[in-house]
Amino acid sequence: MTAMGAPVASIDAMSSDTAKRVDRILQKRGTQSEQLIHVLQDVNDELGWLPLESLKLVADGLGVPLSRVASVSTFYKAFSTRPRGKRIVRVCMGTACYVRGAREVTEEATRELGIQNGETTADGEMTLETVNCLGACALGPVMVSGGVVVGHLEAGAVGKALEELKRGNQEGARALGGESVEQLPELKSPEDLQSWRNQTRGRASGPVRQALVCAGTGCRAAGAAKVSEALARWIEASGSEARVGREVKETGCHGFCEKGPLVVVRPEETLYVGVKESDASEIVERTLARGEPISRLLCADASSRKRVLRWPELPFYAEQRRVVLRNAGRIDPASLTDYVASGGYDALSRVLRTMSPEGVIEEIARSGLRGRGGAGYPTGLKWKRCAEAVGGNRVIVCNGDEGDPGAYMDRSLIEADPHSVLEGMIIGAYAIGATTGHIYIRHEYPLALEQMGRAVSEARRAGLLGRAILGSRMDFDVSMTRGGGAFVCGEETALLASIEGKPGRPRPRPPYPTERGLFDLPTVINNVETLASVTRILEMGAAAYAAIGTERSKGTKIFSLVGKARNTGLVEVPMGTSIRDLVEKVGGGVPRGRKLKAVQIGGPSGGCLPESELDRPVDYEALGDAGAIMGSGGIIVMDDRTCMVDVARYFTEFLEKESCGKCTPCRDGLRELRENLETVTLGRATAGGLDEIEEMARAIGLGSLCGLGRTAVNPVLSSLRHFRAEYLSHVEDGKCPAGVCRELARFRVNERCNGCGLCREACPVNAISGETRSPHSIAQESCVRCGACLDVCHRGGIDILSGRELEEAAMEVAS
Amino acid sequence: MIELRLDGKLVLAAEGERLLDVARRVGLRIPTLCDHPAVEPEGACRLCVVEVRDRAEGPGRVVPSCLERVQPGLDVRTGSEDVKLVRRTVMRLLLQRAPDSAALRSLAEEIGGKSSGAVWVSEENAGGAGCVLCGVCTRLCAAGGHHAISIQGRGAESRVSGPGGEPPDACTGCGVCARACPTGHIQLTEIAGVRRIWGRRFEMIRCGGCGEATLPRELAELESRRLGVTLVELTHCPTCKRRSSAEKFGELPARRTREGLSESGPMKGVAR
Repeated sequence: MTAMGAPVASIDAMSSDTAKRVDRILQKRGTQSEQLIHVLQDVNDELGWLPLESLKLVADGLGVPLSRVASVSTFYKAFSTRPRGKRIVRVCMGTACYVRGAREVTEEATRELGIQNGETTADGEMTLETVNCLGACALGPVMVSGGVVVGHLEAGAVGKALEELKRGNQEGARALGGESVEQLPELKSPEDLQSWRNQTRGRASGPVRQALVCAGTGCRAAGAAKVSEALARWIEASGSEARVGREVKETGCHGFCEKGPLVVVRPEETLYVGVKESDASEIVERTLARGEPISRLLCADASSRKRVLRWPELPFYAEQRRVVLRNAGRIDPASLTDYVASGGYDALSRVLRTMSPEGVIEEIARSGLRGRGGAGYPTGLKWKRCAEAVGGNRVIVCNGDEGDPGAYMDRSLIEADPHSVLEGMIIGAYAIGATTGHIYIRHEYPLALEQMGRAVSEARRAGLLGRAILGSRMDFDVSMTRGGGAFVCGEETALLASIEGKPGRPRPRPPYPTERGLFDLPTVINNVETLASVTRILEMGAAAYAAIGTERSKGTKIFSLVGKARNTGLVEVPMGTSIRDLVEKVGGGVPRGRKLKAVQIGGPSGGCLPESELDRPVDYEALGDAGAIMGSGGIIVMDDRTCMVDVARYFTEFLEKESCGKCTPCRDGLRELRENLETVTLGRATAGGLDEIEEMARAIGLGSLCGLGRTAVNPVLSSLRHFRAEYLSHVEDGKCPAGVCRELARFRVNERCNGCGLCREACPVNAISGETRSPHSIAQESCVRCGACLDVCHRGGIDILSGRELEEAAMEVAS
Repeated sequence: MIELRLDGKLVLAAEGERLLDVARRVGLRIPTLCDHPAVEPEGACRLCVVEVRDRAEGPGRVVPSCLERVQPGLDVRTGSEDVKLVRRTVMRLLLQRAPDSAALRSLAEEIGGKSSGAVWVSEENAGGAGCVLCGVCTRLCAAGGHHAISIQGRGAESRVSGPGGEPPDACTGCGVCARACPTGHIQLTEIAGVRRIWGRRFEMIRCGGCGEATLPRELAELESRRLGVTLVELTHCPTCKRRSSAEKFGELPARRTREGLSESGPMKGVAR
C-alpha cells in the first residue's frame, strides 16, 4: 500500500491536483474502511465525477481493495464514472410526475438541449439526467438543478425553465434558517429541561402575531424564501411601534404543497395560499398589524368555491387528524428551542426518569404500532426481539431511504420536525439497550439531510445525545449516512450493507437484523414515521393512541396524496379512513372534469385499485386483500387519461433499473417482463401473451431473493386482475383507451369543437390547424400523439381512436 | 438428529444441514450454478429452489435449498409446480445470457427449461460463452485474498471485470475463477509459457524437475513470501513434488509395486 497522496514524480499536474483534493477528503473523513461511501460522495462532489485514478487513491487511503471501490462506485447512481457538466439538470420520473407528463418533459428537454438523457452538452455546461423521485410529488412534473426546483412543468415551458436554471438562480437553494446560532443550555437532568422549557415558553408568548411561512420543498420551489425575506423586510421597515410583537418564522412542510407558497398567520390561523413576494407589504400592514384578512389570498374550497379563512376549516385539513404531523408547519425545524417549547423531549425525559426499558417496549406493544415503512411488522415485537438477542452492543437505525416514487412523507417529516424522529430514536435506543445509532437519508433529499444534521448536532450540544443523557445512565449517540441513490437500499439488509460501505445488495434473512445486523450486532431498523410515532405514543399514552384506527391497524398514517387530484399534498388520517374519502374529500377529487379511474397505493411494491374498490379502509389487511399494500404511504390518483398497462410497464421498468442484479429472476426476469409489457403497449402482443406475462410475473414473485423482486410484480398482477379489459383492448382492438400508448392512440377532433384554439397552441409540433371559432383538425402525419391537445380541451372535443377506427372514420367521411 | 419430510419420505439430517446437501445425500438431483464448496452460499442463481411447508397443510414457501437449513417436521418438495415454474423461468433467463454454454444447455435439458430464442449478451460478455453473473468467480477471488475482479454496475447491466473494466493489477493469474466458472465464460489461455486472463499476461514458472509450466511468477512469488516456502519448492509440479519428498525421506520400507516388492531405498522410477 502506498502512503496517502504520496507524490509520484511522473504524474502530471492534473493528477497531482486530484491527489491533493482526494487527500484532503481522506484527512477529513479518516481512513476507516466503512467511510468508503462517504469518501466517494465527497470526491464525487469535489471532482464532479469519479475518475479511475481517484478510485485508486481512495482504495489506497482506506486500505480497501480497488475492486471493491469500483464495485461500490458503479452500484450507486449518485456516483458518476464519466465527467459531467457544470450543472446537472435532473428531471423527476417519479410516479406522480410520470402520470402528469414527465415523459413529455424529458423528451422536450432532450430536444431543447440537443443531448440524450445522461449526456452532457458540448460546451460542458449542462448534463441531463432523470431521477427516480425527488419527493416534490405535489408539484409534478418537476425539474431540479443545484437545489433549485421548478415545478408544475409542461412540455411547452421546458425551454424557459432550462434558461432559468442555466442563469444559475440559486435563490431556492438558500439554507433554511441559516447556521445554527441558538444559545443552548447544557441539560444535565430532567429538571434542567423543564426549567428551560418554562423559560422558552415565557419568551414564546412574546409576539402578538406571527407569520409562519412554509419552507418545505414544495413551497420553496414556488418561491417561499423570497416571500419570507420580504415579510421580514416589511416588518423591519414598518414603524417601531408596529414592529413589536410581529414575527416571521420559517417552518417545515404544512402539507398543502399544491397551493404553495403558504403563509399562516397566528393566532388567527389565517391561511394564505399562492403568496407572492409582492403580497408581503399588504400582509404585514393589514393582517400582521391589524389581524385583517386579505380575501384574494385565502384558499377557495374546491367544491363550494367559497373562500375559507382559517386553515383547519378547509376540507383538505378538516378530514385529517394530525398526530405525528402535530408540529409540522407550526415550529421552526431548525430550532431545538422551538421544539422544546412545544413539549419536545418531555417524553424522553419521562421515559428515562420513570420507565424501565421493558416497560417502554411493553407500552409500544400496547399501542399496536406497526412499522410505517411498508411491511407493517409490530414495532414492539421487533424491539423485544432485539432486546433479547444474544450479544453486547446493540444498534438502532433510522431508515430514511424513502425510495418509493410518489411518496415523500419521511422527507417532509424530517424537514418539518426532525427532533421528533430523533427523540423516538433515543427512546428506542433506551428500550433495546443501544449505544449507537445511524440515520440513513437518501441523497435526493438535501434539505432533509441538512435539517437532521442540524438537529443531531444541536441535540448533542444540549446534552440530549452523548454521555449520561439528562443525568441518566444512558449513553447514546448517532451518526448520519447519506444514501447513494439506490432504491434497493430501503430494504433493510441492503441498507445495512450500505452503511458498512458496501454495495447495497440484500442478503437472505434469516438471520434477521434483530439477531445479526450492522457489523453483526443485533440491530433494530425503524422507518422515520415509525420513530416519530413512538415519540407521540409516549406523549399521549398507548391507550389513547390505540383508540385511533381499526382493530389491527392502530393510530394514524401519513400519506402523500399526489397525481391527478385537485388538492395534492401531505395528509395524515386515522387508520380506517376510506380511500374514497381520502381522494374525494381531502383530495377534492379529480380536476378538469375528468373521471377517477384508479388509485395506486404502496409504490412499486403496491397495487392498482380500481374505482370500485375505493371504499376499502386504509388498513394493512384490507389493502393486502385487494392486491395492494399499505407500503410507505404514497397514494397516486389516476384518471381516465392514465393507461394501466403503461403504469404497469412504468413500475416494472423502474424496478428493472433498481434491481441490484444479484438474483436471476429479479435481474433478468423484470427486464423480460418489461419487454413483454412493451409489446402490449406497442400493440404487438397476442392474447396468449397476457397469460405468459402473468405466469412470468408469478415466477419472479416466487423466486426472487428479497422483497424488491418478490413484490415487484404486484403492479402487473393487480392491474391484470382489475383492468384486464384494458389490456385486452390493447391486444385485440389495437386501442389504448386512455390515449397514452403512442403506437396505438390516434386523436381526432369531433363535433364538440368550438374552435377555441387552446389545442392548437398546446400542440408542440403544430399539427393542429383551424380558424378561431371554427372546427379544428389534426394532421395525422405530423401528430406525435403526445395527447397535449386532449389535456387542454375543456369540451371533450377530441376523440381517442385506434388506428383502425380512424381509417374507418376517414372512409365514412370520404363516402 | 432432525427428522423431516423430503418429497414425501422421512429423512434424517444433522442439525444445521442445508436442504441442498440433504437432498443430494439421499440421491435427489438439484440443479445449482452459484453454489461452490469453497465459499459461503449466496442464493443468487435461484435454480436450486424447493418448496417448503412448516406444517403439511400450511402455505408453501419457495426457498433456495442452498441457504435453507433443516427444521424438525419440515415438509420439502423438490418438484412442485411452483418449483418447476421458477426453475424453468430462471433457466430460460440464464440461457439468454449464455446461449452457447454446453453445461447450461445440458442442465436445461434436465430441468425442462427451454431457450426462448432471445439472446441477451452484453458487449462485455461477447467473446466468451456468456456470463450468468453467478458470482462464483468474484467470491473465490476475494476468498483467495486477491480481490482482483468484482461485480460492477447493477441490475441487468452488472458485469464481472477488473476495476473500471481494465486489466486488474491485483490479478495474480491463479486461474481459480476460470476453473470454477460454470458456463466456461472466463477465458484462460496458456501458450508457450505465457498465461493470459482478464487482459493480462503472466509468465509461467516451469517445474524444476520436469520443465512443465506450473504457476504464474507473480502468484508464485506472492505465495512464496506468504508461506515462507522457496520459489523452487513451490513451483515443482505435483508429480515431481511427490518424487522429491520421497527422495527426502530416503530409506523407505519396501512398497508393493506391480512387479512385486520393490527394493527398499530411494524410490526410483515411480510412475508419473
